Amino acid sequence: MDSDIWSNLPEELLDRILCFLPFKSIVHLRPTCKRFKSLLFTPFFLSKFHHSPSSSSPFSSFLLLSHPHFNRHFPLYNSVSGIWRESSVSRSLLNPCTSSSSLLSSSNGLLCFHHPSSSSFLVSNLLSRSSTLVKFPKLPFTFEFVNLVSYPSGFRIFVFSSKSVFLYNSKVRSWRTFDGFEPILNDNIHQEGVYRDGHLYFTTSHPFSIISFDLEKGVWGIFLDGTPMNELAFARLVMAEEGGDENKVYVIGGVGRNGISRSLKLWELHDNSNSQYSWVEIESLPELMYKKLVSVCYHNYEHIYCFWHNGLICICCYNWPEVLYYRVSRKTWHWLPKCPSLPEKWSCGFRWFSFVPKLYASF
Amino acid sequence: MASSSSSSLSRVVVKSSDNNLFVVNKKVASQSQLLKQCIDNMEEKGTNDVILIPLSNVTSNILTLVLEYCEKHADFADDDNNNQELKQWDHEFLKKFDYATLNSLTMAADYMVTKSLLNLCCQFIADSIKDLTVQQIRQIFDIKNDFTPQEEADIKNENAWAFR
Repeated sequence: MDSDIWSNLPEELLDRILCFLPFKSIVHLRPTCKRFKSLLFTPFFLSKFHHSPSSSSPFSSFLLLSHPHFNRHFPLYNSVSGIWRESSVSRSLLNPCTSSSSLLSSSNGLLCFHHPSSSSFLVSNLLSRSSTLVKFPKLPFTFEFVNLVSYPSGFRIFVFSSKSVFLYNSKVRSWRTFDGFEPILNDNIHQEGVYRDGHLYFTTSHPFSIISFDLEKGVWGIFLDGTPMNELAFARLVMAEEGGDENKVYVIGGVGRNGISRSLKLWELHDNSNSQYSWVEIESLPELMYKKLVSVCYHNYEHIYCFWHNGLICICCYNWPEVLYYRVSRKTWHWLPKCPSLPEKWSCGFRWFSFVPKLYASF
Repeated sequence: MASSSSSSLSRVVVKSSDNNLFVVNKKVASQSQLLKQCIDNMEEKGTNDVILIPLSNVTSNILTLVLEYCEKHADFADDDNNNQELKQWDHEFLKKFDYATLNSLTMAADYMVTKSLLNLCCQFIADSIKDLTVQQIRQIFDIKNDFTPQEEADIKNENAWAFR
């Protein structure tokens, strides 16, 4: 190609041409000039890329570890290739102000940090290196539980604080307050709510139920009440998010009398059309793996939390560096190896997050 | 008032920048939003005369190509862009041009607001530059590097972690 021909092309036509490039080429050409670099995040490009049917994400998906030992960065486990990334995400590189803040929640490519020095939550897209500060709804503000929910058009922050729910909506940039619902905090402080169709779902125990919070109306409701058995020592809820399984609802539960779990089972809740759910047991954790799980959490089930990640049901323990996961497609259980850069002696505080980078996860 | 049947035009005359005249069927001309706008305006005024639309930015050899494209596409419905025969024709159509022609055609499609042709050209050009290096791109499009060497290196590395 000859520069005599192309140098006269108007800028907006050149931009249009670049938008037709495959995503990898666009990223590769970002160092060309400042305009090219910013092009990647223009609405025209994002809308085209997002809607293009052939756009299977060029990004990998990760389990991201937040642990006190790594106060400068987050180790990343690449769940597509099954290896720990050597280059982890450095906090200071991303945004200078995240270095003093703790990670609270992750959703659809966005991360939510606690940023005490500005009395704010910091919501950040690591890929586009953009972030926004959300001021606390009141001062002083203490909270027990934070859940970020993000979708292509924006995000919400669900905060549980002194028996009330504070809900931030990025569309109207404001907080609303609702009456709380105490039972959800009883025994699963590390367990995030599960988002689906405008609702956040939580489990309660003793008695077991699944409750939902309508993010639009701010109303609590009961999704499922009671279990077919009386001996659930603890239960966690996971919903499939992609693939052909996206409507599936799973419960992971420790089964045993008097609050002592003797085995771990996985159920799928089948919707029998009129909101009557039947529990279908699909797996029982092999005994040796189960023994390891309860020995690392010393039967403190409140340390156990679960989430869905790319076809995996992840079962994490706040005080143990390995993650137990169930690969749904192959019906197999595995332990995810501990991060190689973790020292021999570690403290507790393992917070794991499903992290799938997305360009369009924006504010 | 809007057009009545008596003031409806069936043909227009389009004049290229080098003063050649092209008689164009209205349905064909309507493939270009610019020409369509002119026709609609004239019909609203109730003109019965054949109208002349001068295109000061388009030479006759490029205009011939745009009209060839419009003529082909006028035979298909608006939502027929996925028609296999049409796609094949589009591909063969663009394949025969050199880059200078392609460049002029892109600008003409933009000027005449023929969106499907513009997208087609852009996709074709994008396909032919997608494997070029940063240096080659700068050269071809005469782009000045406004980064320091350090900044350029940082950008190359900054999202490396996220890819497969």
